[in-house]
Amino acid sequence: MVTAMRTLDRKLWRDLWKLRGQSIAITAVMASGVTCFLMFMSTMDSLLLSRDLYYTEYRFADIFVPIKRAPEAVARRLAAIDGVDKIDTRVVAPLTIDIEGFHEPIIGTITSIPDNGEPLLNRLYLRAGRLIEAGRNDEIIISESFARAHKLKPGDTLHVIIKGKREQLRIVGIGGSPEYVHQVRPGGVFPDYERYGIMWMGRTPLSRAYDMDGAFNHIVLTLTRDANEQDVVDQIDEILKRYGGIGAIARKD
Amino acid sequence: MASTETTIPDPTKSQSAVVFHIGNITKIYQMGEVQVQALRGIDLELYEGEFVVLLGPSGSGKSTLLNIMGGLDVPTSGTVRYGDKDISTFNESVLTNYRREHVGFVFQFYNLIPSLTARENVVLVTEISRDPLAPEETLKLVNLGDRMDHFPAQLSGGEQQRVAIARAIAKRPRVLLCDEPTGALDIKTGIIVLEALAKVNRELGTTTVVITHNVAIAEMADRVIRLSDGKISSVEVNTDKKSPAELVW
Repeated sequence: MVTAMRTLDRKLWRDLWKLRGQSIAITAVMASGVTCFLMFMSTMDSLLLSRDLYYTEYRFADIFVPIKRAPEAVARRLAAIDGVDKIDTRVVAPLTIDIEGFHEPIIGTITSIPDNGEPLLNRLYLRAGRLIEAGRNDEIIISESFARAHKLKPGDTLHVIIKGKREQLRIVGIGGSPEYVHQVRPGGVFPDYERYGIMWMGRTPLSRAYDMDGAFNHIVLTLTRDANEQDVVDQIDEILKRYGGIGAIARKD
Repeated sequence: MASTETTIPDPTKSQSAVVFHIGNITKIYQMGEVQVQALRGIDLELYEGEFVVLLGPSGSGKSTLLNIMGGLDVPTSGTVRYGDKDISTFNESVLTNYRREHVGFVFQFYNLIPSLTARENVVLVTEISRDPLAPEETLKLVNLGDRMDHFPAQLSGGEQQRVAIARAIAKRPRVLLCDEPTGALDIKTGIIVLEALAKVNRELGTTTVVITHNVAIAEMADRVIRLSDGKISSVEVNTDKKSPAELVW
């Protein structure tokens, strides 16, 4: 043998050297591709992990049930369904928001939270301010994106129209919830933080304003580990049919 | 050329061993719905150490016959005995070994690897052969002793063809099959290449089969086999062989 290196290896190296420009370019493109792929995979993993952590820590519900109106006692029947872990009743309502200096119509969704403390499910993540104090009927917490769009901060006031009645409310906190990560107005496709706002208010004043004393119009619940989601949804729908239930919605839907 | 038309081998070779015994082979190619019959019943024997020229017009079946002898193709029917074995029954793996160990090929276009020198092109074969000649010795045999470290692009057409011959014979094949080895060369260069083939045949005793259109080349052969329309039209034994240097075309 002429040399220790096999002739085909020698040919390979010579050909590569002759095509070094293209070889380097191809290697660089492949390396960039692999790097980007790994980066995207890593980012995707991190995002999914963050999302799952956020959902877990803030007790994001598994099932959402909008209805017309049901007495609070119904919640006990729902809680007794096999597979239901935790259940929380709420009042969720549309409203119109009036912000001084902004001349376009703003609509919003206001969700009740307990008068004193955190909700059991879909807990709030406070970015500024505080939770609502018991007995204060005019306090609200608004979503961070809405606050940023209108430069609102704790201590500011705004006017809303609830069931045709104009009310002045005071912002005490700015925050978010896993329920409203993607804030799109009903019928919309893209988020519009200037014209659609999310708010939270104490259960008592909101129930009073919407004529929901001793009742609720929205339920959120979590499932036990071995629950059959479809079975639970079917049983909830059956119980709430007479209360204007329009169908339970699972988180993935 | 002094010759006699016969199907009987040259008496001077009659004591030589038979390398190939080809018995009534046919080859039919299916081209879509059309069948093309390239060989129509060829019977032939080739002997140890003889130099055979296959003559014939395009489409007469010369290359098909050569490819079948070289294990590059298989006949549709008939037998091709190499020594005591019928290569028409070999599978791909056995055919590959047969080509590797027993047959050297030289084609019209040299098929050298451009990024390897003349020596390395030969080494490529000797690395995978059982009992090869030394690459340097092989290149000297074809008078390229002083051009071993040149790349194909630095060699003339004739020199490249001689490297191809050196590469083909370096593994000491029993048979050297050449398909138009001078087809791309001028007369002067062609004669140098033919001299190399004659030297290999003479000094190594390699049975050599050369396909050509060039009638003049027949004058250096031991036998001239003419093909026409897939059949052997004549076999002539050349009793007055000329050296390549004496050829004119």
